[in-house]
Amino acid sequence: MRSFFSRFLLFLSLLFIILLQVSFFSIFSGGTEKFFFVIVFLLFIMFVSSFQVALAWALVAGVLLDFFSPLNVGTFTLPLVLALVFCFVIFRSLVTIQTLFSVLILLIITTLAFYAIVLVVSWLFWVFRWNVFFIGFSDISLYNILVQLALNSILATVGFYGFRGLKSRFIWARHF
Amino acid sequence: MRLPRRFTSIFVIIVLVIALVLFDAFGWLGPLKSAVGFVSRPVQTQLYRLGLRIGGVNPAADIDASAVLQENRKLHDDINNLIVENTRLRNQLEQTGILQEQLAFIQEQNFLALPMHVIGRSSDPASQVILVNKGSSDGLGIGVPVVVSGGIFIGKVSDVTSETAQVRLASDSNTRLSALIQNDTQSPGLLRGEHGLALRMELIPQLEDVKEGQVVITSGDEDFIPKGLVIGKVETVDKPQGELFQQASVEPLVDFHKLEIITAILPHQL
Repeated sequence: MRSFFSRFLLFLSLLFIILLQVSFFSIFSGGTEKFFFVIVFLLFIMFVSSFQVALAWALVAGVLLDFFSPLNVGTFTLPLVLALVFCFVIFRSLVTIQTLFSVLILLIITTLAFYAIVLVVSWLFWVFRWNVFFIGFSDISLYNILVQLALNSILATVGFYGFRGLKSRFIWARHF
Repeated sequence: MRLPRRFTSIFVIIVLVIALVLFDAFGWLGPLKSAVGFVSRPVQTQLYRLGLRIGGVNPAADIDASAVLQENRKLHDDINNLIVENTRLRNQLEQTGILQEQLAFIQEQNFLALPMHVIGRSSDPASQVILVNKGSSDGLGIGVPVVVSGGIFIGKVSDVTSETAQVRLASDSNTRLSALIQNDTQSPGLLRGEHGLALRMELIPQLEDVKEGQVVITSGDEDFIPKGLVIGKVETVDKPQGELFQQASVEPLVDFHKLEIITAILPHQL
């Protein structure tokens, strides 16, 4: 029962982060850059809990993001899942180190992997006629990625020290 | 031989993603999308309003500066209204017959106005799509034009659930819209967005006399979109020698990033 409530609270947190992204922070973004905080959320779950749990939440986060986009379901879900898989399989040792440095390195790698996979997946969906449009490199833009990396790094740093300060991660981890 | 647990998890999750992709392709996720839209709509409305309030006011500015800002906005709105008014008057002068026909058509078709609140923007980095708090249960359908300030075209509905809808803005890279430049010959062209930053009108015949400041309007060639909705003003004209067509960059009359209340023009029957 307690585990159910923890998961429900985590779901509400995830939904709130996505709603903040699409309804609040979108006002402050310009034409080319958009805020994308979900990756930080998923990486923290991977650090605090486990890869499997993070993968399940990547599925939920991707589906919710796809619901708030004009593209088909899968355009975000598949890249989020595959980026986490790539990140974990190639850089597993960084996940176990659990330092701020490893968090930031993983964040950069996951973000870059995510956008690379988004390009491929949206193009494939377009080829199979599931999406009417596809996302090109010019749509994502290097500037957008750099802005996101900077903002997400700040968020991850604050989250890392905030979380360590609370010293409750083992209590949290038990409920996943 | 047993596979490690993480490989099983990866396999299961990827199978689930593929299943969801197929479900969506068959349209089976519609009720779930509507449910998420229904639950999140009130929160989105409040978050968007809060964002507009915070984003619209410069905290460093003093009272006088904010008054100037408000006056500036009001004047900007007045200019937009005058441009719309001017467009209408020019239409009346130059094309009275066609306009009357058009008005008669609109009245015959019984177009309805549906005011909507903007509650967010698309989550993907590429699209210039806004989310609104009305859906198919309010009569909204795909392709319906959306306007602000009494007739300035901003985009058209691209997706609907029962509770919410998505509006693809004119500034989206994937927007293609048949348009006219309001000059003596009503120069035709194809309008498209440029990464949410600008509008560009292409395929304008080379012999057309296009000048800066001329008003660009919808041509009425597309389903549901009536003729004469103002899109913007010609900012610069690019007329390369030896080419069949010329291009023009079009300045929108509204800030697409600060939209709050917009109106859909509904036909009597979708």
